[in-house]
Amino acid sequence: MPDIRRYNLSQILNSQSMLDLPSPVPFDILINGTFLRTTLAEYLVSAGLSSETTLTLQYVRSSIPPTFTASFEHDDWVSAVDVLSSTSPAAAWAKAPYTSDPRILSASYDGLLRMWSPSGTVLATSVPASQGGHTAGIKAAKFLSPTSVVSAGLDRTIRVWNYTAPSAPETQGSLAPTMVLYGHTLPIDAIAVHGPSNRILSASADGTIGLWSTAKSAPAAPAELLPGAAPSAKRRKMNAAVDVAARGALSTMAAHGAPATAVVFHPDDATVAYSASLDHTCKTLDLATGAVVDARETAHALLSLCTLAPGGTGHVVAVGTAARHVTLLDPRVDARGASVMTLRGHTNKVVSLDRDPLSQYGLVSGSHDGTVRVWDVRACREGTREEGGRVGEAVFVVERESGREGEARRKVGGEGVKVFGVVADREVGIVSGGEDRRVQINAGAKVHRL
Amino acid sequence: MTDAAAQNGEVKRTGGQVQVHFVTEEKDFELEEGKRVLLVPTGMLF
Repeated sequence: MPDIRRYNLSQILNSQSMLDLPSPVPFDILINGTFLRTTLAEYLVSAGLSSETTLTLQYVRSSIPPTFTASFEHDDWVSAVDVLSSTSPAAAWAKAPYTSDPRILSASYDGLLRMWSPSGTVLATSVPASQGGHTAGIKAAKFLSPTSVVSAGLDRTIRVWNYTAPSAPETQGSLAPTMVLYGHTLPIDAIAVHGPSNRILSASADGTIGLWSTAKSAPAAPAELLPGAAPSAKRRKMNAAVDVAARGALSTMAAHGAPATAVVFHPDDATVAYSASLDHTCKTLDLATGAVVDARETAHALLSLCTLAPGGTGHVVAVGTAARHVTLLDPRVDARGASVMTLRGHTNKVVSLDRDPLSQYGLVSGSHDGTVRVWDVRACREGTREEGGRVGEAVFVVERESGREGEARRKVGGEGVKVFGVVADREVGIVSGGEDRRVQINAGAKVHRL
Repeated sequence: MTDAAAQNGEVKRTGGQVQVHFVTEEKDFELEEGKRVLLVPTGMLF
């Protein structure tokens, strides 16, 4: 008799006497919340079960491998990306449904933001430093609404932009600054936005987490940080000539003893945030009081952060590390038992994370190894003695298309093709940017694994 | 491969088979109640 595997069980489910679907649908099989990766016989043996057992098999539609669909070239490295679509957070926050074509936002080390159509047309480019734009490379950018964008970077400022779409085909729209936020004393690595409250969070190399508002009533900017305050800063002087509202932080939280690298709002409560740092900690912040209410110490420098809610009950915090893996922390349990699982497979720093909008169990990660990896926390195994705990393995690995043109370069830890930012969107797919100066889009193709 | 008797809910095991109960949270792919339990071969002799 044959050994039964996932593939065979999927075939059984698809058979005429079972689901009898008009076209085959590949299924994955879960036993006790973990994907079946062996034969049923091997599972029974490893679990110490006899054939008298009744196995409960949960079947779920298989994930579709993300295939390359497009890439857009820039003049410099692409540090961050975001997507506006009918299913993206900024669209969900908008008062009216977003029904236009998706838009892709890219931030670059050349100090410019670019708005792209899915076909690769540049719809708008942010103004240069002389007209109120960033005076150095941009490290983070997010849609706050379908017409509002927030960015931050090496010039220590956060800028709020108004996006106006092109009025006619073949014309350019605009990205014009409406507000500049001052308060950080070192570059800003990451931002998070919350549309309903018009609040922004920032993580800076000065070790602080900033809380900001886009309201005109926000506090005044610190005079010592305004352009022109430093007489030798020529580019800041250029910026001073432009009439853009300058504001300061609602609060600045000295949360970390080393550069802060990532920050996100709590998924259900915008008065709470999580932050990560090179000081190895992930902290929970009460934004109303500015207090650190919880700290999780890990063994490694932390570089990226996102939350996900596997099973739909509560959420876990995923942190990307300099040690090449992603650690899942459960903020609900005490600190000693906080590590839920480690996701292993990257071969260099994990610098960007986003939840997978197609699965409550999924997330995507971008790494300096030149790959984006797609994870499902149900795809896991018991770790070896060295690894410890539960270990998750990537479901799919997305490589840089540009790397295929220079195989030799790719061999050294992603050199030349490092991924700096990744975002996953239900409608557009997985969008990433990196050292190859490109935005790359990978989307689930109509591929069946049956 | 599937056992007709098992499909009617009357499962009778023989060597090298295991009873499985299929469940799903995906409404579009729910099996009819009488088809959820069946015997499948494991290739093992217990």
